[in-house]
Amino acid sequence: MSTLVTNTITGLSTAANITIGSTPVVSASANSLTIRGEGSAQTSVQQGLAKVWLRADVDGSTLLDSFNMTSITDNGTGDYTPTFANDFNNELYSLTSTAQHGSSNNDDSRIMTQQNRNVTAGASRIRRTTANGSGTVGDGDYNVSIHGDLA
Amino acid sequence: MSTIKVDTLQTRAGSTAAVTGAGSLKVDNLRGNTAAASITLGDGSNTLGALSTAGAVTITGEGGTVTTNLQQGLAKVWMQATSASSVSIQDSFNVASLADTSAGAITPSFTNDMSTTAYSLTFGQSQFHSSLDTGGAGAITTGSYKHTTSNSSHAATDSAGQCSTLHGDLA
Repeated sequence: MSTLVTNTITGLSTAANITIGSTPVVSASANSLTIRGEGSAQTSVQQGLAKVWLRADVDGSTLLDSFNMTSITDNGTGDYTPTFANDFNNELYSLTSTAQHGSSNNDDSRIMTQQNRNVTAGASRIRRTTANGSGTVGDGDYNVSIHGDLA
Repeated sequence: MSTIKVDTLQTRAGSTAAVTGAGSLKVDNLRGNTAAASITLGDGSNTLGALSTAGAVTITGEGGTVTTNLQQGLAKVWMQATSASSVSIQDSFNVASLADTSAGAITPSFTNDMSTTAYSLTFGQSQFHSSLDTGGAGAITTGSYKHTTSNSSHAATDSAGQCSTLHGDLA
């Protein structure tokens, strides 16, 4: 096997452009590496990565598995604040979440809502509510993924 | 500036890397010089790190102060499916097949399984709403999950669009 030892790989024709196999990779601006997508356009590697994901246990505050998380604060029944290990650069990130359903077939409508007044670059308060918005309900499993800009 | 013209680079032990012309270099392995696990690309503004750690390549984040993990940030499964008239996959990634489990409930099976069942799964839908189904046989396994859509009366109901995204650790 051949091994090339180097610190920097630079394109020959255009310094920022490198092709790996048949896939173009462009490093032309700080902290924005692009790679050719499924079609012909380039897409940002950093922007496409989830910066946080988690799976919480039935008590709502125990992490079963996660990425870039430190802990979940239990604010009360169905009310939680996940705190991130590495913060975002602002609070304008995209948080998506799915909640565990209720215990019976006619009680299967639970959603997670984000509290806009309690969102910071390092944490986001979320609540487990009924789908019709009637209020916070009991603890339960939920999942969160977040995309946005790291600090 | 000095220029070395060569078609093949060869170590004294005999390993070779081929210079194939037009700016192409054939090589099996790239390694950092100053630090074996770190290589800078292109104009020098982006660096891949932790290359010596299996499954944990890092890249600097948007703000430039911290790094983030490439593999951990990638969605391992995504899918848009419909169950409106018949169940079918509209588009997907890492989904081998889709089962019609029951009214409003579909079960995709992964091409490459996850390492545990503790993955993070988020849903979206064009009609009604979805909840995570962690109970019942086969609700969540390392190779599949059940996605149920419910109407405003909380009854499981077929939907024209059922979307899901999964993050977690591949096996």
